[in-house]
This record gives sequence, C-alpha cells and structure tokens, in this order.
Amino acid sequence: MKKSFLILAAALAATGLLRAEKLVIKGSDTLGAKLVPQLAEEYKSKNPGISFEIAAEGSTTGIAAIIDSTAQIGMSSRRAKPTEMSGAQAKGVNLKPTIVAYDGIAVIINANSPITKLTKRQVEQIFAGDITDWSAVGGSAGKISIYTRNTSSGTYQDFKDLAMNKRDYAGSSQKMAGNEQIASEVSKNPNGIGYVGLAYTNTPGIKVVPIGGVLPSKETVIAKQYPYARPTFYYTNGEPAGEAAKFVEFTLSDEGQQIVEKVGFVPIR
Amino acid sequence: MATTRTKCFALLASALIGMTSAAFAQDSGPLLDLLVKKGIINDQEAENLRAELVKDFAANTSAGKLNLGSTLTELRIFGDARVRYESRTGELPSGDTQERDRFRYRFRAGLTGKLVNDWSFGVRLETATGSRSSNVTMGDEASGAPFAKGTSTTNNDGVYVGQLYLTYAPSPMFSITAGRMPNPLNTTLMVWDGDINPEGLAEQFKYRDGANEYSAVLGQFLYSAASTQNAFGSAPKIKDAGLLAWQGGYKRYIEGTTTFFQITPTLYNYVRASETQNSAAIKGEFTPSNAAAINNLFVFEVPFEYDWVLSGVPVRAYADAAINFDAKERAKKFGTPNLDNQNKAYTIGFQYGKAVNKGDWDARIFYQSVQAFALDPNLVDSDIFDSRTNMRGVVLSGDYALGGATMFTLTGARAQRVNNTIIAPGSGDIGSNNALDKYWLLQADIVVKF
Repeated sequence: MKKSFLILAAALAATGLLRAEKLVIKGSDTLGAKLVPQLAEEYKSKNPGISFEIAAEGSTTGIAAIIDSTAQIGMSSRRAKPTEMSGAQAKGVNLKPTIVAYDGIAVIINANSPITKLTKRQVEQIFAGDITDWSAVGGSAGKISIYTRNTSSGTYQDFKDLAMNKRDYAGSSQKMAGNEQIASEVSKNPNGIGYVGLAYTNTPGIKVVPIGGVLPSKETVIAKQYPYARPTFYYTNGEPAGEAAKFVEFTLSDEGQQIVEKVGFVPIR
Repeated sequence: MATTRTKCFALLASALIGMTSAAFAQDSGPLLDLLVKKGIINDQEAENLRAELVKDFAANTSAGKLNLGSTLTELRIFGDARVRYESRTGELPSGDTQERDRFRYRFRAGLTGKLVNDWSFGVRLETATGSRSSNVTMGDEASGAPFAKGTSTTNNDGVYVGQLYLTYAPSPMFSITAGRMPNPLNTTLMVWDGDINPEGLAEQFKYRDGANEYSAVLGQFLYSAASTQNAFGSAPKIKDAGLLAWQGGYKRYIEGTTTFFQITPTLYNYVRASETQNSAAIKGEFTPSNAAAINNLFVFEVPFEYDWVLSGVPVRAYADAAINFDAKERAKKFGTPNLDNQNKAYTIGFQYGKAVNKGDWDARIFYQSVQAFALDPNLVDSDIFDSRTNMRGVVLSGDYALGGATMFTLTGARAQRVNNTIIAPGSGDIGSNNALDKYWLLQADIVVKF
C-alpha cells in the first residue's frame, strides 16, 4: 500500500499535477534585493515543496500588496502610513508589522572625496538643496550630485523623516530604483552623495560618512546611537498563517537572524 | 501568573489606546521610544502598540483619511458665511425717495497651500458674480419660481472663483503673485472696495530693520482684456486696458507690534483706457451717461494710520487722502471744465477696540468726502456711499463678538453730494438716476468664520 502511494505521488509530480506551494512576497528593495532571497533559498532547502515569488519594488508596493491580498508577506523598510492603515481597514485587512531586522541608512559619498564627516544639519541641508557645493562642508569645490530612492521606497520616506526634518528633497536630486543603483552612481561620480541600507555599504568606490561622529554599525544601530537607524518589517494581514507564518518564524529564528547579520543587517537580538 | 512587566505593558497599551485622539496618536512615537529605551517594552511591543494607535487614528479622525501630496507642506481651509439685513434709501433733489430693503447672504470658502521650493497657491470660491459684492439677495428670483437658484440675471446663488493665484516667494523679503488675488495694496474703502480681487501680477518687497519696516508693492492689473489683440484682416490692433500701481510703505514700530505708525503712498496709472474694443462699460469718456469710463485717471493716494493701546484697549486712528492729477481733462470731457478742482478725496476715521473673542466689541466712525473726478468709480466701496463719487458723509459701525467665530456687525451711513451742480456718478444700487442727492444705509450682519 505504502509503495503504491509513493509510486502514485511520483507519477503525479512527474506530470505536474502535484503543485508546489508558492509564497508571494512583495515590497522593499532594501529587504528584497538581498536578505529575503537568501532567507528564501535557505528555507527552500529545508522545505523542498515551497516556491517563492519575490518582487522588490519598494515598501509602498509591499503594503499595497497586503491590502490588495496579492501577497502573503509585504516587505517594508518603513511603517505603514495612516492612509494605508485606513485603506486596509476599509477592505477588512489588519496590517500587522513584525520587526525582522534593524538597519542603518548609511550616507555614502565617492571614495575619492576628501570629506571625512558630516553633521546631521549638513546632511539635511545637502539633501534639501540648501547646500549645493562641497566647498560649503569642507570639501573641494564642486556641485553636489544627490542620489535618492524613488518615491515608492520606504527608505526614501524614512530618510526624509530621520534626516531631513520631513523636508522635501532638492529639486535637482536624481531618483534611483534601488540601493545598488545609488551605490553604483556614487561610486562613479566624485561629487555624488546618496544613502543606502547597511547591507549595501561594501560597494567598491564608495565610502560611508560618519554622521555627528557616528558610523552605522551593528553596535551603534542596536544602541540607537546612529541617528538614521530604523527597524525593517514584514507586514501581514493579521497574525501570519500557514506557510507565511512558518517563513516569518524562520526569519526570526536564530538561523534566520544569522542570515540577517551575514547579509549586512543588524539582527533583532 | 502575569509578570509585572506584562501587566505594565497591558496597562500601558489600554491606556494609550483609550486615550486616542488625533494629536496623541501622532505624538506617541517619542513616548514609545522612551519606553523602549527604559526597557519597559521591547521594540516589537512598541511596534504593535504604534500600529494600533495609527489604526485608531486612521479610523476615527478625518486627518487620518487625508492623503495629501508630498509637495504640499501646509494646507489651510477657511471661509465665512454671512446673513445680512440691509436698507438703502436715496433721495433726489426733488425730494422723491427710493427705499431698497433686502435680506442677503454671502458664502466664501477657500484653500491656501504652501508647496515645496517656495511656491504657494490660493483659491477661494464665493457666491455672486459681481466684482464688488458676493451677496445673494433672498427671494430675488426673476423667473417667478420661489426659492430658485441662480437662474436669473439678478440672483447670484451660483458659486464662482473669487480668487485663484500662485505665489513664488524665494525669500521672506520678496514674493511675486499671479492670478486673481487678494488686493496686495494697503488701502481703504475710499479707493478700493474690500471685495475686489484684482487680476494680474503683483510683486511685494518687505524689509525690516529694527523698529523700521520698509515695503513696496508693484501691481500690474489687467483692467479689461481685449478679446483679440490683432484680428485677421484690416481690423485695428487692440491692446488690453491695464491698471498699474506703485506703492511704497514705511512702518515704524513704537511698542511691540501693537503701537505703530504706517504710511503707504500709492500711485495709480490707467493705461490704454481708451482702447475702443475693451469692455464697453469702461471705454470712451467719463460723462453723465457713461459713469464707468476710466479716462484721465492718474491718482495718488496716501493712506496712513496710527495704532496704539489705550488703557489696554487697541485703538486706531487712520486717514487716506487722494488726488487725481488728470482731473482737469476728466472734468472737461464730462462737460464741466469749471469743476476741475473736484479732484480730491479724503477719509478720516477712528476705531476703538477690536472684537475677537466672545463678548468683545469695537466701534468705529469715519468721515469721507470724494469729489466727482478724484477716483475711479468702479473701485470705490459699493456699500457705504452706493458705489458713487461726489459724495460725502459719516459712517458709524460696530462689532460684537457673539462667539470666537461669530460676529454681529451694525453699520449706518448718511451721505450727500459734495457738489450740487453735478451728479453723483457711479453704478449704485439705488436707482439708475445719478442725480441722487442724499443717501442712507443701514446694515445688520451676522458672520460666521471658519
């Protein structure tokens, strides 16, 4: 009997009738470009029947996907806005945040820049467009090129809140699709400045600037000394269930948090 | 058994959620951060609490449902609604009188917004089509159907764009505004009706040096636009009629912001007023049968005021004097070249108190005299002397604050012609006969502002 069942299962699998369960995860590029794919690979190795669909197009898309029920997990590097909460409630969706890792938004400049430090005030002035030349902050004369994330990015909003007193970015700032694009542009532009998550600070050709004398690191983020430290989230519709709950549990497990640290984020414990 | 920490968290959660108000929900972030820092709750617990607070804020406040554009840094909604009883009486030299008693209402609602990169905007919707009045007269339906809305030429129940303007202010000292805007000039009812929102461009400068403040306002207003400037064929080229204004200002602060002296001399020049294709009402020559014409107006106005506090009560003494330097030609075209000395206007007034909070009151009195050729009859206040020049008289008015947002105002005026040898020109509400000799006004208003 047991043998017959195994043969039947093998036959069904071979004909595609036994389908693997798919976990749809959408949202933050900060989480979705590196961390979540690696977590997914590790999870799949332990749960062969599971497949993943991961779309990293910004935190806004992740929260929207939970509200629209087009994903089981929404990745977000920012908190849900009141309008998103009310939109979710109107559709009977209960947005629940789960902190999965901490991050520090690192301010990066070209590796050849003579700048060695910036103050919080200078960062605000640069990104808001009050300061437009590096000579105003101790650098060599040259027009500052600002690279930011696009408006669907949680990092875009978080940086405004944490670093810019909620002011808007300079009109001249260039909006990039992801952390890697910002790091790439800054590495090529001697007058460039941008910001990336901690996991993206090892790109060749860039350097991280201490803010008020503090560099983003595991220690300064956990101690909340670094001014642009933030939690990152999975959003689910209420308490996660089924495979999503297992993947959240895996992310929060010791093994998952080791991957968090390995990728460059700060683990939650 | 629950631990003390768990009990603390549960108590805190219920207390915070129980206290949800819009402001509290938004301001709870620093408190939660502090609780985390002190180890009373952990980050995840803080996050759960924060999410609950935001959900409550989103569900139970109107602000939580607003999704404003990221380029908007400030948005203000404002307006007022007024109900008025008004009685106007006119008397001809023959002694014949006309009375016009009306119940009227007015509604205005606006939005102003500050945008990123030093831009801002304003828009205000208001009842009625007239430039000098937003009043709708109750029961004024020409069609015969009672309580109709806005279907006749005399009833103005419709809502119209009263203001729509964009402002660029790259520094606190300078701004430029384009559109249909609140009057940027410091002036008085003698020269400008308070309801007029001029259309065009205005540049404003302001600089304060200690107790001295200097200002300038330049206005380029489109008085009347030609429908086509250069038509096909051999039709003559037509240009828009314009009103240019140059105002300089000096303000001397004597004690705080409540005691000061201010003077704002202003020069007005009407350009291309004679263009034949411009608005029929304003083109041509100022005559007894064409009282809206704006030819030969080159007016200099000097408003000044002194404000101070008298035994704890704010008081204000003010005056305005004006002269038309081109009145000789205006009088000549009117057919009265001997009256070229009728070129001056002045007003002088005093106000005691300022009604702001419930129970406050104020009172003001002013005397005003406007000679026939001194000012543009299209701009002078439409109420106090029935939109006319060649009138002089006294106005008494007082306010009583029924509440912080509700005001009762009573206004009475009595006027007569300055010079009995000519008419009192203007497009008044009392008859169409410009031979009006005497005039009385009584207005009782209740205004609600928001």
